[in-house]
Amino acid sequence: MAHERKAPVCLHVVNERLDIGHIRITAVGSSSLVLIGDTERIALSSVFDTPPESVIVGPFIPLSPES
Amino acid sequence: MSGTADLPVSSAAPFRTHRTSIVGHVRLNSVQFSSHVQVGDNKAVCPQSDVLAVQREIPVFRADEGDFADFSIFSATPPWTPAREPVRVFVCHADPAIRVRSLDVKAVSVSSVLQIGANRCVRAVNRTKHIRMLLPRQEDAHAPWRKTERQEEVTGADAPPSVSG
Repeated sequence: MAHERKAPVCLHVVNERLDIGHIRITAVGSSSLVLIGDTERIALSSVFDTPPESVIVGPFIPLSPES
Repeated sequence: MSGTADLPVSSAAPFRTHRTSIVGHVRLNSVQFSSHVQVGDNKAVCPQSDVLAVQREIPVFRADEGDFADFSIFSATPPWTPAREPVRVFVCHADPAIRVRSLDVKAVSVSSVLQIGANRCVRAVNRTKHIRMLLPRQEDAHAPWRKTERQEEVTGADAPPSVSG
């Protein structure tokens, strides 16, 4: 297999003055991030499972205990 | 600390490519379920949480209930984006500081991160399984959707006499 030399994507960022007055947040939830600062890599993952079968109508049967 | 204070750039800073964050006032009400609040720099933040959220019409729970092994969602690995991407990034900080006068957060919850400062990597994982258990009604045990109709009828019958005539 021949090696292809691709020119990489170059991204130039210039951060100018950043001066913020007031930040008001109600809630930060389920793998979320509030960052006042710099970072290089962010990976946030949230898996949420609520299928129709998750509604169980019937007598309460306790879940099996942790083994 | 004044929100607009002039701050010198320290050459001893652990991340020379990052700016200094200056926050005057922070008000935070609650932090819960594998969440992080950090003031200062760090290398990586990796909060993880597995949640089995069971709601019952009558809240009766046993202390030892629930096994993550019974639910496939907790063994699934999230689809991560590739760690390295073929992008060369050049960052120039014309202003060495980020200034925020005040920060007001009510709640930080479930694998979330609130950080004032720099980091290199954030990797948060949350897996939540919801289960709702309701008691059966005699007439609509097999048709739970009838519940709303029945409720409407009851509301009509219970209406005050002045409205019904």
